[in-house]
Amino acid sequence: MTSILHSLSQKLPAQFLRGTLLVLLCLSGGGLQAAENPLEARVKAAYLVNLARYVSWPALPADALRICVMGSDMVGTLLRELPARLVQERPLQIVLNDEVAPASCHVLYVSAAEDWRTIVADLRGTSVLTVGDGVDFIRGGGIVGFFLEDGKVRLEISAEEAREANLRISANLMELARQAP
Amino acid sequence: MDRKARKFGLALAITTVGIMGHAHAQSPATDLLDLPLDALLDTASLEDLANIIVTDTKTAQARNTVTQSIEVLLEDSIDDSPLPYRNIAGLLRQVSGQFINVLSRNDANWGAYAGLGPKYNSYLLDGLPVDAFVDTMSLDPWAFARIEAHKGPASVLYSNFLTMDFAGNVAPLAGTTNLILKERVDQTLTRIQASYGSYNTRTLRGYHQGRRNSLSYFGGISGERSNYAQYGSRNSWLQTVNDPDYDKLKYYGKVSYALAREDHTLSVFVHHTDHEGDMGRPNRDFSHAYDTLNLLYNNQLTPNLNLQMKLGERRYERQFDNDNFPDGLDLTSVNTTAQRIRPMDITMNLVHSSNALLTVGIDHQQVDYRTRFHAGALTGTENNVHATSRGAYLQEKLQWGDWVLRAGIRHNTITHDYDLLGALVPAARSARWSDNLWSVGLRYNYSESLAIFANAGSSLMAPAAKQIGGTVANPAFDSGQLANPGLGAERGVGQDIGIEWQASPTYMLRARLFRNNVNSAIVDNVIRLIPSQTLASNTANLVATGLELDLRHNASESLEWFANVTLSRTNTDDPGNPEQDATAIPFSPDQVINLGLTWRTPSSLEISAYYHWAGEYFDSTSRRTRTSLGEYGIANMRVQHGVTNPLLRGSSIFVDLNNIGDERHALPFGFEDTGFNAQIGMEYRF
Repeated sequence: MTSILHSLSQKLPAQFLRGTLLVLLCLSGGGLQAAENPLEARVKAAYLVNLARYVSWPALPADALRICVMGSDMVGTLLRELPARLVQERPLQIVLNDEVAPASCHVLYVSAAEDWRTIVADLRGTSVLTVGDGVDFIRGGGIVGFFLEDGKVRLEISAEEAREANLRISANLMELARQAP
Repeated sequence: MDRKARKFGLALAITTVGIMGHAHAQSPATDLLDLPLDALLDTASLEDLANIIVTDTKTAQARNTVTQSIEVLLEDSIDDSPLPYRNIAGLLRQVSGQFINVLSRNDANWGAYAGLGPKYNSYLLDGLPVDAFVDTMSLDPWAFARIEAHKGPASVLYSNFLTMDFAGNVAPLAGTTNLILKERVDQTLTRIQASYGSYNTRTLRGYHQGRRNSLSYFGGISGERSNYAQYGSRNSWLQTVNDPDYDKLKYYGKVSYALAREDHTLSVFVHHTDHEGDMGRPNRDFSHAYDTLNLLYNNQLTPNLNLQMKLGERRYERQFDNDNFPDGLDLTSVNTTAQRIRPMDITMNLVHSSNALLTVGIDHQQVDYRTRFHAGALTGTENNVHATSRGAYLQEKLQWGDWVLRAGIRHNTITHDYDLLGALVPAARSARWSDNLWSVGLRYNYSESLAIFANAGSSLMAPAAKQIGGTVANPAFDSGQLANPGLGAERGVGQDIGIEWQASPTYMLRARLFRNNVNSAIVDNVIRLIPSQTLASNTANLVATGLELDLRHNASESLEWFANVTLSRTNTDDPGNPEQDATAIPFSPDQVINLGLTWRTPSSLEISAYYHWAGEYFDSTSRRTRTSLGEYGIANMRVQHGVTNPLLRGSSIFVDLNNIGDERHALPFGFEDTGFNAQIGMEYRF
């Protein structure tokens, strides 16, 4: 493989190489952050707010409906930049990362970058709607999982876990989602 | 009713739709992709969110804004499908409009796309051209996230592939197939698979993927060893005296690094294949090495502006030993072939005017091709040629309410330089072809579930060096391609029109009419079978018309099935050559039928079964020398128990039953299907 790279560097048009390096130097930035494809993050953020609309909790406080996000800066930033809005007649409150106390959330999105298994296990017996990435999240006890199918963000919902958490999920949402076995 | 008519009638009955209901058109909707989150929440329904396509090819596009017909094979269907010939192209056999023969486990695939021969559908690896014939056998399927088969002309955004080799150059007139590598890794996963099967075939595969902060990576290795079986017809050039053993070793890896943002990435993919064996005779050894490199830089500069730069290298090094069969089995010569192909592409996508997408780009391809021979004390270079392709392209896509309009142009220049052809310095040392290509498309979204589309475009294909210079030093003994120095370029136009109808949440119907026309087409004709020799020639005109019908039904979470039929009428128009006039285009059957079913039981048993029927086709336009092939059906099945989802942990066992009816049909160039074979294996994921 090194012979290919050596050959490549010798035989590529020189202008193309110089231009490529120049562009890369100009456009590469510092700082390493994990985030989703922006469109995917926007769709997930929209789903999280819709989950808050279409799920019923046994008891909701009057002062806020909290959506918490751990491990996804882009989703969290998108939600936090939302103008004030009401969901289920309550102000939507967004809590991110280190500020999150999982048991106080109504909707908790934990991305695959976080230790979601521990978080989900600790939340058993509560009425927190846990949301994560990948079908593995549902198998691990989560309630709603995002997965990609044919390039689209889809939902998988565990009705059993939702019942255990004393949550009622609207039929509108259940129709669109894939049901976990 | 004869067998052929019964099979056609069955497939047509399955795919014919009853009464079409009237679907009310939805009111025009703002392009959801461009809305900020606040507006998206107020505008998009749950259904809208579920239909937004977030993964891009050149850039993210909603499905209802793409004018071409696209079939997508996802990772789980790639994993679930048996590959009896270990060739990814075999998966595409199930796609309507595509007829693909994989000649053997050691060889390329050969077939037809939309009625045209095998050189009219290009293959891409993450948008950069690869060899349509060899890389589908070489590249490991576990590296792919999905495969997209774009139907219809694609010559504006995508260039030709200049192999200059036996299979010739490839132009995306009938379509293009994009093999899309896995990119971002969401979870750590390791897979180990071992299997054993017919012909004493032993396979061991390993794979690992992971992610560390902004770095996603995957890598794998696979080895296969087999005694195989004779895969040619009796007494052909493929006749064996021993088992034709082969060894394949592949290793590959990719790293993707997010530079500050997940939409600003740099990725590198490398893949190596060693493929060695013998063809069942003491002096018919072969030894091949294939290397693939893809570098991809992607930057969403602003919410509306995307930049992609791609650079690749493909190396194909092949060696064949030759004997004097049938007159003798002693070693007579050793032929080697070395190709280096470097494709590059720079593309910018600009979303503007809220409803328009402008794509601008340039691409370049550089090819070095050399063949050498060793015959006793004689050694030398037979062919030494170089080729380049340069293209500049521009495409605009506009959305007006329910209408999508697409138009693009490309200026393409292909040059050849011949140092040696057939071990001689040719009289013509160079050749050059240049043309302006165009492509247009239209889509009307009558409703959320019903759309009509139409596309048209042109193409340019230069001859391959081997088609001009030939590959045989001694026509009396050598297999290969005979020389034709007077060969010219060909130009084509492709058109299609069709509908896509999601008739219900579980039924999908698609119908597409196509017409492809190639002027001065270059056709490979089989001249002799022993030795196996072909000759390329320009016919006056090729016309291929056809109809594709697709029906897919997701009956439940546990059962899904599909059926498709492709009917083609092909014709060569060459009044100056009565021997080839009004004959069928080679390698394109008049009918192809595919049926498939996947059934999952609650006890984690999954059964996938496929049936493929090919009607009659010929291997040449020449009435005198052509051979009738086809008119056979093949049934394959995979039975799996345990974890079948490629993302889940656990173990599984599988059994592949290939060619269940033991249909040993003849294939082009003296190849022959080896009949029924099976493979059993286990996999563990953690």
